[in-house]
Amino acid sequence: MSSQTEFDRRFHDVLEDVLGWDAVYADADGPATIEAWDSLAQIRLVNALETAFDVRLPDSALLEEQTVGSLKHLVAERGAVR
Amino acid sequence: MEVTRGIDIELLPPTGDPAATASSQLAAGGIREAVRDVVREGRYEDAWELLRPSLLAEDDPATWGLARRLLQSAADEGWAPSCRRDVRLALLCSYESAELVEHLRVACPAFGIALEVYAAPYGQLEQEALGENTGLVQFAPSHVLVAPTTADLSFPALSEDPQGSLAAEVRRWRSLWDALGSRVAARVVQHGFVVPDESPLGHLALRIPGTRLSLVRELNARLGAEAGSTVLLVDVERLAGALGKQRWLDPRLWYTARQPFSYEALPGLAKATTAVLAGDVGLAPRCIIVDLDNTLWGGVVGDEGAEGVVIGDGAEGEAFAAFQEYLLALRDRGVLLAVASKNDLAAAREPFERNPSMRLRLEHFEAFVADWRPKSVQIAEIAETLGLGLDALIFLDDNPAECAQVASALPSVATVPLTVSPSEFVRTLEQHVHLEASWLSSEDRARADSYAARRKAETLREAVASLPDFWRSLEMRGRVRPVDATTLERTAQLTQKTNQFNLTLVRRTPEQIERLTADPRTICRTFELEDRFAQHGIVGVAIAVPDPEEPATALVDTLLLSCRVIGRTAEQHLLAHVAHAAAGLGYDRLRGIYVAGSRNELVSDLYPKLGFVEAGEGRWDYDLGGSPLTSEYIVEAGE
Repeated sequence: MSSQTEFDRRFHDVLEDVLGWDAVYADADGPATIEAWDSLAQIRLVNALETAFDVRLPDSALLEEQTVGSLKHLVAERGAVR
Repeated sequence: MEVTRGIDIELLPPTGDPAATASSQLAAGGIREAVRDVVREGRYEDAWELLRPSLLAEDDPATWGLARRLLQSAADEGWAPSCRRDVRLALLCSYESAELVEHLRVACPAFGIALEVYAAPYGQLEQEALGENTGLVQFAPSHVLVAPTTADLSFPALSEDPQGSLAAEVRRWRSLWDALGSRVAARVVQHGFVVPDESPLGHLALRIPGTRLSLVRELNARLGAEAGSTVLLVDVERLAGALGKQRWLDPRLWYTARQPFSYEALPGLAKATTAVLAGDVGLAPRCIIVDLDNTLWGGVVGDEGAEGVVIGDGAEGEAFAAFQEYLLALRDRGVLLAVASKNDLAAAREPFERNPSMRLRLEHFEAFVADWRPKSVQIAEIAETLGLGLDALIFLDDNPAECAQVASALPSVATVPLTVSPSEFVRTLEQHVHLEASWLSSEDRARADSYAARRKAETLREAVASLPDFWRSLEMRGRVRPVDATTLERTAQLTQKTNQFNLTLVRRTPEQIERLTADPRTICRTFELEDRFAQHGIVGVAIAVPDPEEPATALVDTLLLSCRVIGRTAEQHLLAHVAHAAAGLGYDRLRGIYVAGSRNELVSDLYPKLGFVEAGEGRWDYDLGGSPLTSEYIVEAGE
C-alpha cells in the first residue's frame, strides 16, 4: 500500500515537471484534456518516466496516443517485470 | 617500485564511485524537492539560485527538466533570471530542434546570458542562409548556431574517392558559413559531427581512408582548420565520447522524433554550446584562485615542511602534479592563476621555491595571498588587485567549509569544492568550470585572420552564392505520378500528418483517396524527389478536382510537401505538372486556395508568389491558356 503511494507520488512529480505544476492529473487525462500534452511533451514524458523509474517503455508509448492511466500501466508493468 | 605502488593504492581511503554517485543522486533529488517547495510559494528567484549550481555541475535530465518547467512558470508570472549579456541566437538545425532550444533556454541564463531564439524550420539550412529576407535575416541574430547531424553527410559506407567526398562536404559547410557572413552580421557557431559508433568494416575501418568512420573523423579536423578564428566550433565528438556514444545517441528518439541525441546528452550539449557563446561574449571566467594544502599538494606545509608535502611521486603525488600541470596549461591559454591560503606567507611560498617536484612556480601566479584572514576577504583583495569583477573568479578548495564561506560572503564567485580524491581533481574542475575562449591571443588571431582572408578569396570563386545556385548544386530529379494502389497509404499518411507546407489541411483516408482516383476529371499526384545527397521518396501530394461552381476550373484541393523538401521549388514542379494535366483534361483554369491553420502560415502567400492572380476570398487563379508553369531546377525523371 505504501509502495503504491510512493509510486503515485513519484509519477505525479514527473507529470508536474513535464506538464505543469498545480494541476491534478487523473488517469483519464491525456492530450485531449491537457493543453500542454502535445507530441513533444509525450516524448519528454516517456523519457522522464523511463529515467525516474529506470524502465524501458515500448516504442508504442512514444508513437501512440497515451493517457496518464495507460502510461502508469506501462511503467508498473515493466517495473514489475524487473 | 611497481609493487610498492600497488600497496599504496590499496591503502588509499576508498573514494568509492558507486557511493559517491548514489549520494550525489540523493542530493539532486533533495534539491529538486526543495525547488518544488520554493516554487509553490512563488519564490522563483530562490528556486533558481538553488538549481543553478546543479545545472552547471551536473547533467541530470530530471534536474534540467525541472529547470525548464521553473523558467517557463516564472516567465508566465513575469520573472526571468537576471543576466549580464544578451544573445540573439538563430538556430539552423537539420533535426527536430525543439529540445535543443529548450535546453539552451536553461543553459544560457545559468551562464548569465539572456537568450532570444529564432529556430528556422528544420532542415532549412541553405534556404534560410541564402534566401532573401528570410526569418533568419529578419531576426538579426548576434549568433547563428549551425547544428547538423552525421546523417546529413553525403558519405557512403565506403567512398571510392575519399578526397573528393571530403572536399564536397568541407565546401558545403564553408559555403554556408560564408553565406551567413555576407547576409547577417553574426558569429557562426558550428556543431561538429559525431563519428558513428557502428562500423560495418570493424577495426579495419580505421586503416581505410574512404570509410564513413575515417571520413567523419577527417571532416571534423578539416572543419576545425577551416573555422580559423572566425567560426566557433563545438566538438560534439569529444562530448559524445566522454559520455559514451551508446548513451549519447538515441536511435529510438531519432526514428520516432527526428531527435538524434538522448535526453542524457542534451544538457551537456547545451552547456558546451553556451560555454562557447559565453566565451565569445566575454563571460568566461578569467582567474582561478587556489587553496594550497591538499589542493596543490598533499599534506599541510606548516607541519610537513617544503620537502615533506606530497607532490610528484606515488599515486597521490603524481595526481597532484598532474593537477598542477593542468592549471599550468590553463595559464598558458590565458587564464590567470592566484593563491588564497590560510598559512604563514613564508611557509606557503617555500614549496614553490625549494621543492623540485612542484610544477607550478611563484611566477605563474598573478596574486599570492597567504595569511589568516577569512578566504572571502583574501579573494576580494585579489579581485581588486587584478582589477577583475567577482563574477570572473573561480575558487578551488579541498575544504567544503571554506568554499561555503566564500559562496555565502561573495555569491558572485564560483566555488568548486575538491572533496574527491586528487586523482579526480582535473575531471571535477572540467565538470564544474566551462572555460571557453573564442581564440588564443591577439597575435594568433591576426595570423589566423590573414589565413582566413586568403581562404575567403579562394572560397568566393567556388562558393554557392545564391539560392538558385544552391538549387542547381543539389542536382534534383523529381517524379510526378498518378496515385495508384501502391502509393495510396503514403498519400493518405501525408494528408494526415503534414501541418506546415499544407495549403488546405484536408485530411483523407486511403479509401477516400481511392474514390477520388476513380474519377477521370480528378487529378491525384504524388511527387518523389532525389538529389545529390539522398533519395527522399514520396514527399509531396497534389489533388485537383472540378470546381463545384465552375466546371471549367480545376480546384487544387490538396497541395502539400514534407518539411524535408521545403524551400527547393518542389511546389512549382508539382503544380506545373498538375497544370499540364488539367489543361490536358480540358480545364481552362487552375484555382489555388489557402486555408489558414495553426502551423501553415509559411504558405499563406504561395500562390501569388507563383504568379497566380488573386480571385478574392483566399482564392488565386492561373489561366491555363497563357504561358505554362515551369520548373527550372528540378529535372523530371518520370515518363
